[in-house]
Amino acid sequence: MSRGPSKGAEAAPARDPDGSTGQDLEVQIQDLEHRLDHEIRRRQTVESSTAYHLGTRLLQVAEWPTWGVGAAGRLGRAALSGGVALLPERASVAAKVYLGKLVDRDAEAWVLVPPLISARRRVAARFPTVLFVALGLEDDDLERLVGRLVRMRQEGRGIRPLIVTNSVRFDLMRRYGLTFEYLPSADEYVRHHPERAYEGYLQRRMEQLMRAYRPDRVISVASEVITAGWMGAVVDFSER
Amino acid sequence: MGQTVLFITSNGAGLGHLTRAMAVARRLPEGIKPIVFTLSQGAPIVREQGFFVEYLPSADYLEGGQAARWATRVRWNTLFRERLLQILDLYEPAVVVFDGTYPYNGLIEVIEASPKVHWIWCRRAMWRPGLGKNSLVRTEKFDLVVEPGEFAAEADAGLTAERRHEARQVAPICYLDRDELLPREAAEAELGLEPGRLHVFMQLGAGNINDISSAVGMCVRRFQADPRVQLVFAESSIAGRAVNLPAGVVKVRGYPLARFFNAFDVAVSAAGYNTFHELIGYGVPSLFIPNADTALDDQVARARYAEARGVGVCWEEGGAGDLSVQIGRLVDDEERTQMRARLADAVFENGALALATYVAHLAGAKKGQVAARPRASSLFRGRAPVASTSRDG
Repeated sequence: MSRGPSKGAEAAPARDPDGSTGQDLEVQIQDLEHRLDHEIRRRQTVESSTAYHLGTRLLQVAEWPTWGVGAAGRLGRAALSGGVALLPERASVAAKVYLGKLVDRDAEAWVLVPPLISARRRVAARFPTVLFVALGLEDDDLERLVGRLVRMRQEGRGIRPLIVTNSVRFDLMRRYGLTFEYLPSADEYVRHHPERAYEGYLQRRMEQLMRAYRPDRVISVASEVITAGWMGAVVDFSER
Repeated sequence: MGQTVLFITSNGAGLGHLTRAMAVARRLPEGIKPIVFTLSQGAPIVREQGFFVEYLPSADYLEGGQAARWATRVRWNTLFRERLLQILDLYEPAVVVFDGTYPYNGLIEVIEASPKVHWIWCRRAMWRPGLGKNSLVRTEKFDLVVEPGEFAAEADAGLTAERRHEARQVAPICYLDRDELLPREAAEAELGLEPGRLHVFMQLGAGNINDISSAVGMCVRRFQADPRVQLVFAESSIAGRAVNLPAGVVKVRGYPLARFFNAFDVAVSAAGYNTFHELIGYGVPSLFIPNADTALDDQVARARYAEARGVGVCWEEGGAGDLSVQIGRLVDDEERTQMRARLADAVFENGALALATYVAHLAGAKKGQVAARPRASSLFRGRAPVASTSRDG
């Protein structure tokens, strides 16, 4: 009647025929770094313009038309959570500070419309999200990927990585504060759901991940042989 | 095709939510498929135990670090809702059991959008006094609230204590039944312990074992001063890095560690629901060092109650008590024998089977139908478990 505890051993993931997953990973990350440097320079140019700032504020107001309602409460919550630095004119009404920010780019108060986030986080929010499909990577390769991402972060090459993995080394990614999503391997999925096709599951999960995280770029470092399922999800997303 | 039961668990400080969910899941009858959807870093353990697991990072880990803020939480709730809707669509569970202290906005939205599913809140009691009002207002969204039994229920001063009437009561939920534990000799052999010595099990999440000013460091030093003692340190199954242990200390890691509890004469542990009930239920005299920094779990009250009942001793960091004195009570043969006798009197049923039986019963009943009582109803304390679709609370 009772299940488990069991010692289900996971089959070793398939690797590319030439076994050169590591080299592929290295090349892809180097390519990513190169593109990132270019992207960061381009964004810096765009974001230093007044037109960009004005447009951003207008978009925020359009997205949150009720920003004035309850602004004080939101401000309070954000201040408590460290989301907003001390305001230069704390006693002034939200609208005044907000409008003040439009004309004074260096004021402490950045945004008083939701989402209430600090200038520091606004910078972080501009970093491109890169989704790494790392299915089937062996622990060594996953460690190398994580190591490179951490080094890129330390060097100021800002990306927001999202690792999609079927590894159970959650501790590895958690230790460095990397966001990750877990997808069961094909073996694991089929063992529990023999009546279902893994391919369909994978496609649906990838579609959901693409919708949820809206990555700027998807990089596959998967060593598992995967057919067009998840790639189809990526293409569908990019064509929308 | 058989029915599916989905267990959703929060990301707690330890493995309490996951352990309760798995304890029930492994007792479901054949033909009912359990799936675990968790926010916990303990998801790999669920897989190891032979269950199918779906994982979503909790809001705290979404952006990296613990910096999840308001905007992130709004986004996370959307993520959670979409993911849960997808899981419901994929697996079509008849029953969903949520084990957590706060039903998220995303969860509430899905409950409202899924009226055909039986929604159960497995709501562990013993909340810190005055906390959790925001959670309790969501009670009525569930079809049923189940409260896992609490040995220290008499000391429960939390908000759920006043609302116990709205919940079905089951005995304390443990992962293993007592007869699943290894016999002492087998456990000693598997752990490499020397027979005849006083075996001490230590499981304390916080603190550096090599820092003699920390609770865990002080415990190690005190126990190692006693030549009879052989100390075993349990490393967290979800901790990233291995702990460097002092010489002579045996390390154990894995799940469920309760398998080995017959090998131990004494234990030192925090007072979280899971380990607390395992130690009491399996009769191990224990020193409880409660974690006072939990969000909601009143570990301090639980640990004090154990001491008041004479089934363990309690020491609070920053409190007035002397840790060395408390450990001295545990290693004293006479006092430990008395404690063991009181523990034998305190034995309780494992509520996991009762809840599993009821969940299986619900899985076979259409929502809205009044069904017969499940056979294991005698295991329920308090009100008998009828298949009610009325909303409690």
